[in-house]
Amino acid sequence: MGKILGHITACFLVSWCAAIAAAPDDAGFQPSVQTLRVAANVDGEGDPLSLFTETLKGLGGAFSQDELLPADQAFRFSAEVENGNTVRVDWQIADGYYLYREKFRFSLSDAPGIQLGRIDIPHGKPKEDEAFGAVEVFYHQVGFDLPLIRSNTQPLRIALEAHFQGCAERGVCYPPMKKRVVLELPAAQASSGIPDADASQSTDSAAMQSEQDRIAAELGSRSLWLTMLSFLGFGILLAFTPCCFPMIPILSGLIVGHGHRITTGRAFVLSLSYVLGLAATYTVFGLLAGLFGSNLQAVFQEPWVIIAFSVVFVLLSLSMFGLYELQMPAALQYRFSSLTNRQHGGTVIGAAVMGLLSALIVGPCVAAPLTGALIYIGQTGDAVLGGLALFAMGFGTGIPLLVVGTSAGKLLPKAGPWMSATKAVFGVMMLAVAIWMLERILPPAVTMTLWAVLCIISAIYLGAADALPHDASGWRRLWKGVGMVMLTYGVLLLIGVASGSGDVLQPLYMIAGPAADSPRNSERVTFQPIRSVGELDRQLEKASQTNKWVMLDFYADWCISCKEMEYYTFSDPNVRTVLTDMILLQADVTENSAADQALLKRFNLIGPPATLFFGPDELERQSFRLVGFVDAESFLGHLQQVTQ
Amino acid sequence: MKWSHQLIIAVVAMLAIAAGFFSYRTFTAGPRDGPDLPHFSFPDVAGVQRDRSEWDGKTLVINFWATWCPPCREEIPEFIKLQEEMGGLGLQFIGIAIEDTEPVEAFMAEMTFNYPVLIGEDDGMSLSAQLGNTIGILPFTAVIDRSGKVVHAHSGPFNREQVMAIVKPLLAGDS
Repeated sequence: MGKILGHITACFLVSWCAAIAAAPDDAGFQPSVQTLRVAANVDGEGDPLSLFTETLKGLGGAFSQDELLPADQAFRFSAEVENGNTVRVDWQIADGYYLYREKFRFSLSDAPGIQLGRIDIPHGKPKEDEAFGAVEVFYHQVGFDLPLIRSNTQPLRIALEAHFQGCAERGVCYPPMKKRVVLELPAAQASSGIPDADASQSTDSAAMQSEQDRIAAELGSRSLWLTMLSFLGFGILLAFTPCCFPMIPILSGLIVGHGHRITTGRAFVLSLSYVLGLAATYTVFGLLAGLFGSNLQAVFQEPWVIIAFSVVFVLLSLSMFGLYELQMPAALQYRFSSLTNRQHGGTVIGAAVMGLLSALIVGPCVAAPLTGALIYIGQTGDAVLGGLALFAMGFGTGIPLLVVGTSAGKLLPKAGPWMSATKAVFGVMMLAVAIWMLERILPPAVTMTLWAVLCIISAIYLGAADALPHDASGWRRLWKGVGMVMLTYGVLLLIGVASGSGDVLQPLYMIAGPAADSPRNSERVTFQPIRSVGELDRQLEKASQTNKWVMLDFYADWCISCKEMEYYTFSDPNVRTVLTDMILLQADVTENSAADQALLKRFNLIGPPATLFFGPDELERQSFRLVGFVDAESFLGHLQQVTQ
Repeated sequence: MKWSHQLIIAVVAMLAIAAGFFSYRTFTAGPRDGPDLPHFSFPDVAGVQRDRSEWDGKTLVINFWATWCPPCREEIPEFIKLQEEMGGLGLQFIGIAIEDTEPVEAFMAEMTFNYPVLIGEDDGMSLSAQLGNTIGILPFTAVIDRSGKVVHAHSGPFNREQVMAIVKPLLAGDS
C-alpha cells in the first residue's frame, strides 16, 4: 500500500507540474505568438500594457478595454422570418450605447426573385453631434420590418446582410458592422403583405438541421410542462451516452462504501440525494445561462478544477481500498461510524454533494445537447424556465442512476469478503475516472503511464503474478486470467510510452510503424488560427475570392472532444485529402478573452467543440454545423453533404 | 532500495522544473518594458507607402481613427496643436484611418494636418488589436517611446492633459 501511495503522490506531482506548464494564461511560454498574446492579454496580470492602463486610470477620463463591450454584445442583432413576405430585424442595445438611424443598410443575396421593399425605419432620439450635426440615434432597442417583394413564391433559403454602426456614450465608436444571416423563407403570395401561417414553422423545414438548432427549434414553441418533459427525456437519453458512465462507479462507490447494512430504502434515499445534487448543478447551469449566458464549460474546466476533482477521486478510491480504516485511530473510527449511523442526514448530504460535483465534471462531455439546451434558455432569457428545464434534464440523467443505485443496494450482501473486493473494483474505477479527467490537461505520455500503472497494479491484486494452486476454483482461474490480460496490456502501455506513442488504444503504434493501411496517421491538418471576428471576415472574403469552402473549428485546450476531433477525425488520411480543398480555420478560445467571446457570440455558441462550414459565398451553412465529436467516417459523409 | 531513490530523484526533478517555470514567469514579465511596436507599412492618402522605420527614434503617438467616428474627429484638432508645440522635441503623431482613401481625403480637405495620415483599413484595425485594442473601438491611441516600446495604450478620447502626462516624461528623459 505504501508503494501505491508513493506512486500516486509522484503521479500527482507530475500532473501538477504539467498543469503549470499547460496553464493557458501564460504569455511567456509561447514566444512564437508573443505579439498576439499581448493583444489578447491586455488585462492579464503582470502584462506591461495593463500596468500602464492601471497607471492611467488615476489620471481620470481614461478607461480600459474591459469596461467596454465587444460590438456583438453592445449591439445584439437578430432577424427572424415573420411570414413569407416579411423579415423582422431587431437590435438589443446595451445601456450607454447607441446606433445611428442613417447607417442602417440591408441587402439580400442568394435570393433569386426576391427584393427588399421600402423599409420604414422608426424615428429615433435626436442627437446633436458635433461632427455630423443633427442625427437620430437609437438607445436600448430598435426593431422594424423588412418587406420582401417576391416574384419567386417557392420556399427558399436566402441570406440577409445587415449593415449598421454605433458608438458608446463614453466617446468611442465601433467600426461599421456587417451581419449575415441565413433565413428560411416559407412559400408566399406573389403580392406582398399576406401573412403566412406556416412562417413560424419555417425553421423546421430545413431538410437537415444541426443538432443544437434542432433541439433549440423543437423546444421553441412549447408550454412549460412540455418543455420540462422534453428535457427530462433528453436527460434520460444523456444517461446512456458513454460520458455518463463514470457516474455509475461514483454512485455505487458511495452506496457500497457507505457501510455494512444498507437497505433498499436507504440505497434509494442515497441515490435520490445524489441525483438531486446532480440535478441541482444543472439547475444552476440553467439559471446562469438564463442570466448571463457565458461560457460555463470553460469555468468548470480550468486545469486547477480538474486537478482538484482528480485528487478528490483518488482520495475516495483510497478509502475504497481500505486505506482510511488502516490509518484512522479506532476511537475515531468508532465515533465516525456511530456518527454516520445516527445522522442519516450526514451521508445523504454527502451523496448530494458528490452529485453536485460529478455533474460539473461529466457535464462538458455532453456538450452538444447541453449547448442546445442552453441556447434555448439563452433565447428565452428566462432564468426560472432555464432552471426548471435543466433541473428536469439533470433529473432525467439521474433516473437510470437511481435504478442502478437502488438495485445495487438490494443486490449487495449484508456483509462478507465479496464486498471488499467490490469496493476495490470501485476504487480502481474511481482512479480510472481521475486519470480520465486528467487526460484533458496532461500530455498523453503521462496519462498513458498512469493507465499502465493502474493496469499493472490492479493485475497484481487480481493475482496475476501468483501461482495457482492445483485445486484453484474456476473463479480464481478466471480472475488470474483477467489479471494476466491487464498485466500484459499495462506492460504494453509502458513500452508504448517508452517508444513515444501517445495512443492508449495503439500503444505499439510507434514501434509497429505507420502501416500503409493504418487508419491513423501522426500527421495533422494545419489550421490557420483566427483570433477575432474581423480576422474571420477577412479570411472568408479571401476564400470567396478563390471560390473555396471554409471550415472553422472552435478549439480549446480544455475541450476533450476538440482533441478527439483533431486526433481521430481531422488526422484521418481520407479526411485530410478532402480537407485540402477547403480553407481550414481554427479559433482557439482557451483564454475566453473578449475577442474569443465575440467569436462565439457571433455564432451563438456556448463554447467549443463546434465545427462550422462556410460556402464560397461567405455564408455559414448553419444546418451543417457540427457540435461534439464525430468519427472520421461520419465526418467524411458530412463533408460530402456540405459541399454538394 | 533503488526504486525509492529513483522516485526521490524524479520528485526533485519535477520540483526543479516547477521552480524553473515559476522563476521564468516572474523574471521575464518585468513591468518596465512594454512590448515592441510591431512592424507596419501603410499607404498615405497620396498612395505612397509609408514604413514604420521612417519614424524610428522618435516618440510616437499613433492615433487610430475614422471619419465615421465623431469622437475621433473631435480630438484631432488638439493633436494637431500638440504636434506643432512639441514636434521639435522629437514627438511625432501618426494617424491611421480605419477606412479607405476617399472619405479620408474629403476630411483632410476640411482640416489641415501637420502629421502623416495613413490608410490602414482592416489591417490598421489588426495593428490596433495587437497594441491592445481587442474590442476594436475607435478612437484608440498608442504611445511608443524612442526605443520602439509600446508604453501606453489608450481607448477612447485622449485629451491634452492625458497626452502630456504620458508623453512629457518620455521627451524629458532624452535631453
